[in-house]
Amino acid sequence: MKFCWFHLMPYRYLPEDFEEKYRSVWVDVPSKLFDPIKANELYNEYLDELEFADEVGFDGICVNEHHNNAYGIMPSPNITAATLTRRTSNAAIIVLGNSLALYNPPIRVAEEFAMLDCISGGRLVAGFPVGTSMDTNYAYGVNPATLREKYYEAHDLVMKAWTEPEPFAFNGKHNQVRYVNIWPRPLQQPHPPVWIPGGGSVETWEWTAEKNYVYCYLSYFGYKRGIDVMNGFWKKMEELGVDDNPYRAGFLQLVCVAETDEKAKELYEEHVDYFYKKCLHVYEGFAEAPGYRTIRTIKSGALAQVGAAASRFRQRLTWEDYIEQGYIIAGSPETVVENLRKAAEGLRVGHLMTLLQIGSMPRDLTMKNTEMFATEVAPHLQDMWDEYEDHWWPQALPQAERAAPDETRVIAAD
Amino acid sequence: MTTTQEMVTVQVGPISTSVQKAGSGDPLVYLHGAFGYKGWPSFLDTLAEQYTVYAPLHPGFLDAEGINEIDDLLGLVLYHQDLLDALGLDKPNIVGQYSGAMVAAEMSAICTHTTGKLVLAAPAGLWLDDNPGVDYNTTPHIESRSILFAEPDSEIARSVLPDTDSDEELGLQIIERVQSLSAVAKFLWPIPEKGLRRRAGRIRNETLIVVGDNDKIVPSAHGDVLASEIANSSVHVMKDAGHLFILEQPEEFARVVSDFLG
Repeated sequence: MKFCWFHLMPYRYLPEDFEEKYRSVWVDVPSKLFDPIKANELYNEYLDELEFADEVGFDGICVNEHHNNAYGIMPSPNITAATLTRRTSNAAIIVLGNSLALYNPPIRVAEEFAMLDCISGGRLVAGFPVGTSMDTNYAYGVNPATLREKYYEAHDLVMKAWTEPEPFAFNGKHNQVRYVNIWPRPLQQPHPPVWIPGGGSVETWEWTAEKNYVYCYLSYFGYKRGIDVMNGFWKKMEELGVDDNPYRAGFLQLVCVAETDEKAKELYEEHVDYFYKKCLHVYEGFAEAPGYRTIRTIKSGALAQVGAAASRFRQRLTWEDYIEQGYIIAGSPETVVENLRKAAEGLRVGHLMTLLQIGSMPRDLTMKNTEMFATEVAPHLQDMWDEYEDHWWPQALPQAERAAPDETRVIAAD
Repeated sequence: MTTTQEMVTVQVGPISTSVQKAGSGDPLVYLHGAFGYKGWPSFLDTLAEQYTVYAPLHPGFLDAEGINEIDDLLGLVLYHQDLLDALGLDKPNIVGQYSGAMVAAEMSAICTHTTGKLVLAAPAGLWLDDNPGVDYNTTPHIESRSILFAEPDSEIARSVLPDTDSDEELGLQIIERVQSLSAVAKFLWPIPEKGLRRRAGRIRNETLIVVGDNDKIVPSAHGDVLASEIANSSVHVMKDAGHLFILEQPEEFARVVSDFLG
């Protein structure tokens, strides 16, 4: 089992009455609520946390892309990833990812990912989400009717840019480029592993199977609901004649570890509340632009994670509900190990992405959660799926051959 | 008086299109908008007394095929031009509502000799920074009536968007809404100004722009701006009228249209 440490980078200073006063944490949350001085502290704190996850032995560190969003102040995950290439040395750098249809031309993604791969010595995982409707249709104005075809075309362009050693022309419907010829190329050959974050649509499952990519179900609903979705995923893999290697899949789970179950509630409850009641307070009208999901997917009954009904429902949840319904896995190391094992087995996932900084959780508590997870939880679970090979993990240069920051250089102060 | 409609199917390039047809006389084409497109609106009965009315269903709506065959606004205009040819119509008068009005205006701006008189009801196609109209794409389905009708609880409003306690029925309504709004959004997203304001000066047709004084989607100010760009045009403002005044005030709208067409 691979353990990955995922940061959303939430803004921790939303007003107490945020969810009464404002209709949405996303799209039209006014940026007057954003204090850049506080953000100076937040970004540095969050980067420390990601670096710490590498130090305590997490296999991967994950960053992602959101726009107009107060729970994810990371519109450019590549900037975050770039700092991590220099300040971490072991963990895979998992960018989950770049929403391809937002880049014009998407060659930019091929270039930046190739840079990250070269600087990090081949530690990059390339994530290509379609992007949520809030990010793509509302914040960036991309047409929902053509978002997916634009995404698939951008994917083809990026893959060809990575793998074609000679300049070529690309005559697409959404991108026309006379000379595609990226410098640099990625270090990993033929290209970094590709992971596709998704929300449970059938088309995406079929496509990831066809391309032999990892499918990551990034849900905030937790493992109990996730199991239904992932059952659908594995059933589809079987139908398509694809093997059931658990490393084909990733799943995001919120986790809170403390000395005892009681202590976990005492330490983490307010931050989990902040996450579910403020961070996921999204106006129903933004949940899904018309055409964002195909009629086929809507008919298959996949649920939107945001929206009025979901939001109202979550306003009533208590700590006990979060645990009972699987939104979070929380408690003593023993409790967490037991439930995570159940979750990983039920979901059949080899790449477990843990959310250990949750909502308003401050640095010290995040570090504690991270360290306890690394020392008292992960060791009990890391041999899960040992009988399978992870074909989708970065193939970095051996440590000894990898360039690193020159630590001997000293800049003299005046 | 109510008419009997006949269903005609015509092949427009790769797209098979269903057209409702009724009445007799010179041809008149009705192009529907994003909402209130189902069935045969009663104002067409009045017009069918004087005209042969053709009402095609836009690709992507209900069971109409072909939306994936049309890539952009130019493709949409050419599809409609080919539709007129397929129906064998020479310079028909066109009544369009919202996106249908935008198509009628664009057709007349781009192919200047193929359309007759124009009635543009609550026309899409402009963007006014200080008066853009509500973003109906983000209005939850169950609140739609309040942005479409001056009287959201009227009988006609309830017949267009019925209340329901059934999850299944609600699900079907939402799927239908997604389909139709997506077919419109393909050409209007995220802001409906796609160059009509610059092209409108090419429209030579005699044009009547009809706006509702209480239209939340196309504020009546849009009518004056569009009229200022079209040489041979005038504006009629419907009183106590929401976005779907064609359905809320069918007699009055039909009278205004008949008077204009002469």
